[in-house]
Amino acid sequence: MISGATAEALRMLVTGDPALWEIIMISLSVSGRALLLCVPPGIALAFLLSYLDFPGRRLVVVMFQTLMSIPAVVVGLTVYLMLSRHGPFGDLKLLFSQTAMVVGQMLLAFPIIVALGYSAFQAAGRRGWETARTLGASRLRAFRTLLHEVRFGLFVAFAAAFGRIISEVGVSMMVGGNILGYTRNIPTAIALESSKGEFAQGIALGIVLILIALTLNLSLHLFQGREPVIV
Amino acid sequence: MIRFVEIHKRFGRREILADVGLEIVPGEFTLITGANGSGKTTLLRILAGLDRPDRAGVMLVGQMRSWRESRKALRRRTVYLHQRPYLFSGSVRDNLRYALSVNGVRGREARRRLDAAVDSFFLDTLLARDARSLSGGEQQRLALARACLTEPEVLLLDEPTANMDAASRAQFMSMLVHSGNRNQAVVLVSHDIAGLDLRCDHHFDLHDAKLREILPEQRDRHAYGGLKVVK
Repeated sequence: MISGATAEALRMLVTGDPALWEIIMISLSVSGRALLLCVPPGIALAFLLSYLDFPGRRLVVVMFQTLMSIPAVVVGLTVYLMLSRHGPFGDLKLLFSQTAMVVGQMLLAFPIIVALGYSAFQAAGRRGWETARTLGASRLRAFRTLLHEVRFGLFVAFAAAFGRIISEVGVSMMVGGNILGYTRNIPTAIALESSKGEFAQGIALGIVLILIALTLNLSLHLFQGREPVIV
Repeated sequence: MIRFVEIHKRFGRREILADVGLEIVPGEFTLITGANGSGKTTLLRILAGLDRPDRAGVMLVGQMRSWRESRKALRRRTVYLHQRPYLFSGSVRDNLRYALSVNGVRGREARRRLDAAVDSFFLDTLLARDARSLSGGEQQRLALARACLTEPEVLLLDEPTANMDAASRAQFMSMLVHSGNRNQAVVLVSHDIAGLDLRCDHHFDLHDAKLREILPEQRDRHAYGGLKVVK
């Protein structure tokens, strides 16, 4: 059964099965939008947490680090309650839409970008910022310099955040509703097809998820260039 | 000339600087010595406009203002070098060009300054090297060259020769004295005065939060931090 399903999965991938590719495109579109919307505020907050000293700063950092591992289904439940008809944002009628999925995935991605971005800025330390400023760089130029300095760390943060949201089921299932052609994405489709005993599409989508993870990691390595061997 | 008066700084209950005053005169080399933890770096960072004092007055262009009001002007007129210099990722050339670029120096003037710095600091064979792969002494040399490229009024050096042997220290000091323009003031802090005080116009000792001038005739008998200095 496994070999038959795998062969069928490969056939679907190679022949460009329209239903399969529609699911893949929905996944990439929703998770891509969620990530893009999180990146600017996430970087800005990570930077402020690294370079601005204010009471409770450490507590905020710990909070974001904790939120990194919050179960997706808890976020899904929270967004569901907020968007449901009797919830505070019920009038927006966003439940079971791609927008609701984007919002939920943003809540998952944002803490990862902030926490890992914060670690990246911490690695550069205060000296990077001060050196740029003391050499005469404006605040904006110094910020751009620092972004360049910590680019690898930030890319790791984006890759980790994307990896988390592209493969999560909890939020997508609860607030997306798994509607075919609209909110059905890779993880919800895998869950549904597997429960029906239709493994071919599930395997094909699983292969796509693995390929996405592989692409992310390969691009990270290419971006970092040749690393020295630690001896 | 920049005149600092009544600089006060406490960390908790500990008084680091108490009513410290200092005059920075164009073209003069001021050496500030003191034991580890005596507050030399704190003082230097206050002079650079990087760290906030509890109270301080600054006289710039004949007008006495608070440190806070003078902060921008201090940052514009000074360049501060960390004890462990921060070098941006990229080559030695990239680091030098950065200092010119952020100050809007381009074209023929940029080339002139770059060539002069490369000659003065013996960087011609290092230009293509990864800045972070340089030895400690070479990194200090590059950081000093980069700072001098911006032609600051005041160069603030935090223990630049701390990890150098006697020969490297002598070479560094020779470059420092001969490379800067004639009107550039230098303030250097160090816990170790070997080879430094012979070249300075003023020598101060920071001890018990107070700055005390060591006159040339006193230098042989100068003691600080409980240690007699043997030359």
